[in-house]
Amino acid sequence: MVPTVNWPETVGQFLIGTARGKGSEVEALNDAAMLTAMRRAGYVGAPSGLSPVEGAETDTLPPFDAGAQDLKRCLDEGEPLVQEWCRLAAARGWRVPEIRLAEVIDFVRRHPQTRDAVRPVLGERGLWLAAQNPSWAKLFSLAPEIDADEARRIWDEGTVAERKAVLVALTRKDPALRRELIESSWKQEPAKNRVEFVEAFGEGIWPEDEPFLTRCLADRSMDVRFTAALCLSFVRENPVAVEIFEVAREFVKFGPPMQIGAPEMDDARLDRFGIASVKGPVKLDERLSRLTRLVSLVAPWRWESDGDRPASLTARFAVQDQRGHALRRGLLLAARFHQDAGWATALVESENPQTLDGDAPLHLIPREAQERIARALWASGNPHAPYRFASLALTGKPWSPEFTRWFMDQMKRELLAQQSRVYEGSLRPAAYFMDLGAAQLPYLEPAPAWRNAYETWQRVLDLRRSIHSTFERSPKP
Amino acid sequence: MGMSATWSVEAVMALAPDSASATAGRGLGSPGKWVSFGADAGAAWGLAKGSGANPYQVAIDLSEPAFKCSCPSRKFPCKHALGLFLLFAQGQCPAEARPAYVEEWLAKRGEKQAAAAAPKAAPDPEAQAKRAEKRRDRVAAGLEECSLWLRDTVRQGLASPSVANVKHFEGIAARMVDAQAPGIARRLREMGETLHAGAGWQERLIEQIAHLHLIVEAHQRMEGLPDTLREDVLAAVGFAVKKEELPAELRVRDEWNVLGQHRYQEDRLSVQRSWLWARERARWAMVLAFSVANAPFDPLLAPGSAFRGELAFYPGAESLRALPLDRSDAPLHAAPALSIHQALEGFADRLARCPWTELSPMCLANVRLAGPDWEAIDDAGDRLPLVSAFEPWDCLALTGGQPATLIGEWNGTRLRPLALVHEARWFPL
Repeated sequence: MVPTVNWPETVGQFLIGTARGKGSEVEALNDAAMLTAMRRAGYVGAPSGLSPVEGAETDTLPPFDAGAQDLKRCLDEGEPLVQEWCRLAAARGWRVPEIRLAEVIDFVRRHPQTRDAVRPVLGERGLWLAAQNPSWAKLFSLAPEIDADEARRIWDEGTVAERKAVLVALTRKDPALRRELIESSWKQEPAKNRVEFVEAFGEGIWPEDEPFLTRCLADRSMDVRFTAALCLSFVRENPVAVEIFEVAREFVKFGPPMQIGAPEMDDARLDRFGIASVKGPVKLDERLSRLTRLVSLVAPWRWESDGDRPASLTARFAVQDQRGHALRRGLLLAARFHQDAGWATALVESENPQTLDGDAPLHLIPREAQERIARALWASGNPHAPYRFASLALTGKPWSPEFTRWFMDQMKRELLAQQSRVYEGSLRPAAYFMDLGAAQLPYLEPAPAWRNAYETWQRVLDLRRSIHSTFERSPKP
Repeated sequence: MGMSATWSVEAVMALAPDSASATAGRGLGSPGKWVSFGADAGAAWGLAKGSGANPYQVAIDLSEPAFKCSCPSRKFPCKHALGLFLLFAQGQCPAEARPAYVEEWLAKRGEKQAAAAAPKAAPDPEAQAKRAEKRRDRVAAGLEECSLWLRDTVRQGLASPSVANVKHFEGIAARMVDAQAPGIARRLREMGETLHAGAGWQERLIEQIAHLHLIVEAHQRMEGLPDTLREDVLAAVGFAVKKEELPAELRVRDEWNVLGQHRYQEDRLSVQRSWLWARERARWAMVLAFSVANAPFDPLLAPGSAFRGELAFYPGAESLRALPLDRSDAPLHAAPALSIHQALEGFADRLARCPWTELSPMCLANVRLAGPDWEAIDDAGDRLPLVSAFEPWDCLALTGGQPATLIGEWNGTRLRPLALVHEARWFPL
């Protein structure tokens, strides 16, 4: 039997129907059945014009296949473990096993903070693979490349976040274009956009940017003025930054004797830096909150002078005092803005651990001081202690053996107690950063409420031990 | 080409009922988590530290494998069994004498199996014949209705709103379920899914209609068909052959290599389709397994494993479908890889013998991938488009863009890659 029609005719017949077209339905079905069988049997791929993917360059680093299982577990367990695996691999000259590459790269897409740890162990193969997938392609490009036309296009058409990202990307590449873009539409932007765009100068300020930021101090929006003042505070010799410091010094004298004043509410100088003024009499605490804002705009190092280091300055005022408290909060904010580890440490250590609150920039403090503070927190009965432990652990620095041993001793007691002060979430991050040699745990039966947390904790520690021993067992390539 | 140990770590992990169990099982796959453990030729066992006072007793019957653990987990296999199996797969279980609890469990299993194998009381043959006849009549009436429906569909045309409507297909599919023709019902439901789905859906739908017509016509002309084709038609309509009715002459003893596997949902059922290659006879087999409510599949067919054993094939002119009957472990070997041209010729031969063939396994040599609408291209420049759900990233990571052997299933228009052989190693995709 040979079909009486060809495939296009059959398709036409089926679409319009035999009621309106020609032929009987049984013939149409028979023809279609035969043609379908012939088409399937005679399949020849139509040319698509696609070429095979260009092959990857040869790798110099060998893949660490022995660690593929550990790495899989790390991907299930969390970012710090993936980072630990990658650091160990990088130190020993290995790369990610090929079977794990796609998962690891997609992990970086979901957890961008792991990018710097992962990149060195991807090898040629991994970077090549990432380039093949449009949703991975930009993950590992070293500097986000952006040309002027693209920057202008995004500036005209993009969302606020995209436009801010353009400004950040231009910081080093083309600061003149950064100024040009921001000034081109400045008058039409709503205040909340203007704040976002000024914030982009936090990435870096060039001398040519200072006049623009100084002009921002005359902006209608208080938030724009404050943000611009904050940006300028990073520039050592900038006249505005020096001026803010001079004003602040009128209210804060480290002495001796130590003096802390409260700015009047109609002080127009403060208004210019984005600190609101109000007419009429106000309470002391409102004036003191202006002091906090003002001090937060001063780079902390400006307070230091010959022989006056942060620790000796913070010792001069009592934080229990209302004025001292306002000054301390301003200094803490400034230490946070300026990433000043010396001031952060001095401020946190001068405080009673019992009242240490959530504002403390613990992440800026060196590990040794953190461990000292953690022990004091634990002993003080501070209600925030368990949460502070979690944030200490999450700073990403490895724990010392002594601190690990001390922590294990506390845990043994806590895990057996029905009413524990430890909360589940603080155990897991602790396991990420403990010293493995010191984290020896005898088998114990935790109180029921802690069983899951305890198992998680053990599992993370086991995995870390497994990672280390797998690397140690494998001779360096 | 020997490729891996009988139970690879991947094969063991494929047994995990869910990802939480897999993670926990991996955690237990190190000697430190165990009070003691050991193995002999038939079993592996161990005592796992648990939260109770006594350690859990864990045992694995390696002949199946089957699992036993005294822990209270409802997961099966539980994390302890998985951990122990990992230890065993990594060659870490020392050869030792069986403890009493293992011996006892294996003895009980043996008794149960013997009882199951014992012949049951024969069902009443007369009643059986009556039931079979009743079903044949219902199916014949159902297919008559389906034939009318097909003609009506062609008369109205696919452009007609009452035809290009999912209800048009679902209604008849439901009636085919009532007529006890589940194979026909499934095809009709699939047509409903093709409707308006992506460019060129009309041509795909016409092919599906034509294919169904071929089955319905063949069923109406059953008397004139050779026996083997008749079996193919009955299978396409949805007549299931019982395990004990599989013909003895179609049993094949060989070294079977599980080279590819695909799992998918059909209604509330999970379906697992495994492609097995017989090393000595050089032929393929397809084993279907079903699971309700996410119960684990029989671990016997872990992808990337191999066994020496007997498969009972279903009757038919070109039957690929088979059921495994027994097994003993063997190393994995891949099928010889063909060019795309050769593989397509093989598919055409298969269609010539049985035009109802839906899927055919392919083991393709020196294939590279091209995207972004991914296709496989071989040395000669021949190409096969891949199923749209396919993610090429593992494949690219393993090969670095170099040619490799690709194992997959071809449906006549698209290839679903299932596994890759690269540098003499087998990887599931």
